[in-house]
Amino acid sequence: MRALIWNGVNDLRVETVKDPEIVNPHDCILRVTMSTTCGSDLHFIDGYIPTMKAGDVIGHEFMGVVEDVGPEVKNVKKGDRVVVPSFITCGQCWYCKNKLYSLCDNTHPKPELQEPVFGYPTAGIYGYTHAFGGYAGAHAQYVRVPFADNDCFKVPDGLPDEQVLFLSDAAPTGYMGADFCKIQRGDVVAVWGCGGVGLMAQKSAFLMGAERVIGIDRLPERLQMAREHVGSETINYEEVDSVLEVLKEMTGGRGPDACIDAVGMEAHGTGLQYAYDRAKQLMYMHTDRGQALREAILACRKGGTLSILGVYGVMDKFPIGAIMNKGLTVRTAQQHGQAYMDRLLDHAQKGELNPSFLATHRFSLEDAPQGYAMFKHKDDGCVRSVFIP
Amino acid sequence: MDELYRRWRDPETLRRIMAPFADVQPTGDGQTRWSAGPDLGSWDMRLADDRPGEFMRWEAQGGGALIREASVRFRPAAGNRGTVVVLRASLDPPGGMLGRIAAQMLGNTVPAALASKSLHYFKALVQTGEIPTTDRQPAARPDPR
Repeated sequence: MRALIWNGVNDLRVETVKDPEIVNPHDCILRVTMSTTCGSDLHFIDGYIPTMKAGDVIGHEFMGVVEDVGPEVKNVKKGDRVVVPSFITCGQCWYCKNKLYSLCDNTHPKPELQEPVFGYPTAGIYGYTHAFGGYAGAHAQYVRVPFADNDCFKVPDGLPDEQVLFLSDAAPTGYMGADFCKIQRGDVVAVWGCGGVGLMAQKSAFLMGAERVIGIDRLPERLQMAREHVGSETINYEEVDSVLEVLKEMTGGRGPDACIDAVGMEAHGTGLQYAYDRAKQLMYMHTDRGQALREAILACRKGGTLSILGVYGVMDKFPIGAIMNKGLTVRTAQQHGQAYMDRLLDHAQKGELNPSFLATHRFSLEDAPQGYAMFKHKDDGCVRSVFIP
Repeated sequence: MDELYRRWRDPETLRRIMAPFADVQPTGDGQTRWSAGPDLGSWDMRLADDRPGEFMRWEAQGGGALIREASVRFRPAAGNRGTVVVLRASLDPPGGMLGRIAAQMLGNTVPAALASKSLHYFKALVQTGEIPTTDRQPAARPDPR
């Protein structure tokens, strides 16, 4: 089959590899009908997250049609059209039973790569470094899905692929980020980042009862999306002296009740702090440019909630004093998609959630390297590149 | 605890959870043959202590064994959250004094990581009926794992 291969830092190529096969009894094989880029992929494409191997198939946000099932698969059958969350989960361990799916205990084939860094291994994920399991990814014609019964969600008839695709990752990640904020009617929620996850977090905050949502970014076309597709107010941080001061003015000096970071370790920014982060990251002296997260910590009202969705490594100059002295509640996780999928599909069917506007650019799988280049450089207003094998 | 004990006694379980480290085959009489590749060698282990539902201990037979002794113990976890499984292994690295010095310089990292991985695999096998793997998957390189 054809698949998008990581061959080294900033070296993606579409190559022919062998088809996946059923290896474990709960596996299924999916014929991928659509997959999409994720901002977190850029971290290993750019070389900031280690443990990729040359020859890895990448991609973790996808949907498709079931082609074959293993002998122990009960609820999924050939021909089912399904969407699959990016974290692989067993459904049997303590974490899965407590709906902390991305922390599943039983799906990481290489825990020894992750335990020294995190203390304990997370769930495995498709196409996202060997520290996260080393599973083959989904920018391919076919992908093996372990624990098909737990991780394949049937798509109701009438919902087109573009509307469902982002329920694999961007939508549940954003939804979880808003859920972390325990939003009360009347709350003001600020979201750093107007990419796929940030826009979904903003939309979700409204669905959960926020009165005002403020999206922060630097790209006019993304800020426009936040206003037009979501109904957010927006701040272009390149056009203001201080995001903190603008947020204070917008909230009567009180600050947002909750701040969501949907940016992560390759934040852009302005000023000395950004120059410091950028220089240290270029010299590989640290992995993270943390400007968005630091700003969110500072801007959050006293006693408010900080919800972190951006992906980070190890960061220095982290303002823990502001978190401690303001009594912030910090909630964070990789997405527990399986916990939210029923609600998300319900919102989609009622017409309350239609993430298809994120799919700004479509490519055949053969042109995926070009799709990633456009996505990375945000050329032509690219928010997400979508691949059709 | 009885179920975990029973699963651990099954030679097929040991073979599967130790697979990343050694090929383990039963040779009869409760003995197993461990083969850890050309550098680390092969040796036999004999069940030396057996308390059903609670504890097992194995000893290596003869010289040249990488693992001199190993034991597994089962006890109830706090708060009725299942069972704690404790795996202990005493390693005797090859290469005489030089090998021992090298092992000391590595600290406990390598053996501890191997023991931890075996326990993760045991847990996955018991809870789900399978061990997570990247074997035989698509990749553009000779060893796809």
